[in-house]
Amino acid sequence: MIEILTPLLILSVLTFVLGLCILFASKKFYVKTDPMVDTVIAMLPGANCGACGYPGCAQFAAELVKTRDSSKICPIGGDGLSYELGRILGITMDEAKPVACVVLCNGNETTTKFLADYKGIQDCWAVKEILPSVKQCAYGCVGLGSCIASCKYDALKIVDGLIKVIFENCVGCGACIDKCPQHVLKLNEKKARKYHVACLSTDNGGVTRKYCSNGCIGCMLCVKACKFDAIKVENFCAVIDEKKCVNCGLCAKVCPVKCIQLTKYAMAPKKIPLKIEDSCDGCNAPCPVKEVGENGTLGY
Amino acid sequence: MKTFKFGGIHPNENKFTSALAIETMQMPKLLAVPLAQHIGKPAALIVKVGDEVKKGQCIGEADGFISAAVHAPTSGKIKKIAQHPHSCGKFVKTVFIETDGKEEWVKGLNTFKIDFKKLSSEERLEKIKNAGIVGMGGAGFPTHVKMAPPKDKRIDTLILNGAECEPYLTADHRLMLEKPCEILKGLSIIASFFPENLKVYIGIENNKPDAIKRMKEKALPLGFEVITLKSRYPQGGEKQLINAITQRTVGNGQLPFDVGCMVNNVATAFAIYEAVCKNKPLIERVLTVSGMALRSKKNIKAPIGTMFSDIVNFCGGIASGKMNLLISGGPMMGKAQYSFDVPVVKTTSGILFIDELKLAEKKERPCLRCGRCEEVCPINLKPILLANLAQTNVEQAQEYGLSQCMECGSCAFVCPSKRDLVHWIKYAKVMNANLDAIAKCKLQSA
Repeated sequence: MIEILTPLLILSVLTFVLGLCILFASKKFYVKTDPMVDTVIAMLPGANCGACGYPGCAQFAAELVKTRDSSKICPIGGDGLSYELGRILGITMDEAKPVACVVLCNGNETTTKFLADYKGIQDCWAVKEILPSVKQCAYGCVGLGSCIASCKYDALKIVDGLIKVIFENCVGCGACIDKCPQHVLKLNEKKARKYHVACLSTDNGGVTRKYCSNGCIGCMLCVKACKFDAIKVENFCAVIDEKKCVNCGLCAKVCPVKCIQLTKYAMAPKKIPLKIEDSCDGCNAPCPVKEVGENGTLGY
Repeated sequence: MKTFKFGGIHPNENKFTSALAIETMQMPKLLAVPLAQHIGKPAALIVKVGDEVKKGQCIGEADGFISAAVHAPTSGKIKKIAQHPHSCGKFVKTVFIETDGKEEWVKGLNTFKIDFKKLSSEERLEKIKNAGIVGMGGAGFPTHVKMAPPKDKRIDTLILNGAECEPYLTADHRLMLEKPCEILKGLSIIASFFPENLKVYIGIENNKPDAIKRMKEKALPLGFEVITLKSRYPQGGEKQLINAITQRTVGNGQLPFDVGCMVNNVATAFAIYEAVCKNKPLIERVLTVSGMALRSKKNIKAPIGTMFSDIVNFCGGIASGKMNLLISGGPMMGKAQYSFDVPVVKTTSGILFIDELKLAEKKERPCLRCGRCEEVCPINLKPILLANLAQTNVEQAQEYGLSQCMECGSCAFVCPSKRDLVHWIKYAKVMNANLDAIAKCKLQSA
C-alpha cells in the first residue's frame, strides 16, 4: 500500500508547488493586452495572406487598434469588413479598393503548340531551368500550376493547360504573383466590368501567330478603335493605360485574336463570417454581433 | 593508376568515334552566333543588321569583368539580330550571319606565326582576351579571368585536362592525337604566366592509350609529366582531377587556385595556341557527333554558330524513325534539346542523337532508400536528401551543401528508381536564388 501512496503523495505535493509557481508567474509577468486587439483578430479573415502589408492578421490588428489609422485596410474583407471594423473602433474607414488576380495569357492546349514532349518535374520553375516553356510561346503560362499551392482561397486552377482564376474566390491578396516564373499573374482593380490584354508576347506578329492563335499580334486595330487614347502597342503587344481606360469595350470588339478580355466581377460585398464566439468584452462601441441591444441590454 | 577519392561511376564508354579523324565541315549558308556563350555577362553587340563582316571580326565585346568577346566565324552579311534558342535551354540574343563563301579574314589575323616567348605576359593576356577564349570543357569560364588569379594566390601546379570522362565524346581524344604539338605549345603559353618552379601535369584516362603514348612522346622534352588515370566518371571535373593527380582536396566554397592548382582543357589549350601564335580568335571548335540514331558518326571541326540541322545533313541524316533524344554535350551532363535550330557554341563538346527508348520513356518511382546515390557522389553529398528538400524546404537544402553540387549526374545514373535527382537539385538552386531575390525586393521596398 505504501508503495502506491508514497509516489502519489510526492506527485501531489509537487503538483501543488508547481501550480503555485505558475500562478505566481501568471500574476507577476502578466502582459496587459488591449482586448480590442483580440476582437479585431477574430473579425479578420485569418488567412495571414499579407495583402495588407503586415506579416499576418494579428500584427495588422495590433497596428490598427494602436493607431486607429483609417487608411489601414484589409483588402480581402473589403468594404463590408472595413465598415464593421470602423464601427468597433469608432472611426470612419477609407473605402477599400478591391483588387483581383487576372491571367495575362490566353494560350491553352488547343491554341498553342507544344514545344517538346516534357516529362520532367511537373513544376513551372523546373521547366524554366531547361526550356523556355512547355509551350512554344516563351512568354505565356507554362501550365503546370506552380502558383496553385500559394492560393489559400482555391481561386486558381489549370483548365486545358492554362491557369484560370475563379473570380468568385479570388480575394486579391497577391500571394500568387511571385510564384509565377513567367509573370502572367497580375492584380487588377476590381470593377463591375474590366478589360485587360491577355497576352505578354513581345515577338513580332508573324512569330506570335505561328506559336499561338490567341496571342496579340500587334495589329493596331485596338489602338485605332479606342476613342480615349487609352491603348497603345509596345513591342508588338497591346498595353492598356489604366488611368485613361473607361472599360467601354470598343477595343475588344475589333481584336481579331480575341486577346482583349472582359472580366465581370461580382461587386456585392462578400459576407465575412464573424468569428466572435462567446463573450462580450464590454467594448463600448456599437455591437458588431448584435449581442447588445439598442438600449444596452443583452440581446440573448 | 591514379584516380579521385570519393564516389564516381563507370558508365558504358560508347566511344565509337575514337578512331575517326577530325573532318572539317564546309561553311553553312546561315550561322547563328549567340552573344552569350560563356559564364557571366553576355557580350555587348557592336554590329547592326545589314553590316558586312569579315572572318574573325569582333561582333560582341566583352562587357564587364567576367565576360568574353564573340567573333564572326566567317565573312558575310548580318541578316538579323533576334532572340533564338540556345543549347542552355533559354532564348539568347543571337546574330545571324549570311555567309558569302569568300572566307575573307580581317587584316592581321591568321597570317603569321608568332613566337610567344617574345611577347610580354600582358600582351599574351590581352591576346587571349581579345580572342574571346573561354573554358571549352563545358563550363565556359572566360580564360583571361582565370589566367589572372588574385595576387595572394600562388599557382604551383598546372594541369591539362585530357580525361574526357563523358561517354561518347572523343573530340579531345582526337585533338590530342592530331595536334599534340599545338596543344603543348598552348600549355607552355599558360605555364609562362606563372613562376618558374611550376609542375605541369597532363591527365589522360587509360581508355585512350594511343593519346597517352603520343602526348608522352611530345611532352617529355618540354618537361611535362603525363599521368595515366583510371577511367572513371567524373574524372574530368576540375576538383576531381586535382584530387586524382595531386591528392589535394578543394574544399567547400574553394576554387582550384586556393590549393595552388589550375586546370585547363585540351581544347582550351589549343585555342590559346591559335590565339597567341596565330592571332586567330575562337571561331571554330572540334566536336563529336555521335549516337545510334545517326547514319554516320563523326568528329568534326565546325564553325561556332553552325546549327544542329546543318550538322545532321553533313553526317548523312538520321536513320528513319529511330531518334528519341537530342543532347547537346555529353550524355551525363549535356542538356536535352527540343529543336534542330540550336547553334554550336564555344562550349558544345558534342551532339548526341540517342535512339534508346529507355532514356526517353523513363518513369520516376518511389525512393528505395538504397543509398547508392550517396555512394557515388564525388563530393560526398546526399542527393536524395537534397532532392526531397527541394520539394519541401528549399532553404534548408543550402545547409546540406546544395551549392556545391556540380550536377555531374552520377546519382541519377545509378538510381534504381530513376528519380530525377539532378533536375530536383537544379530546381532547388533556382528556387533558392528566387528566395534571395524576393527577400532583397522586400528589403528595398521596406
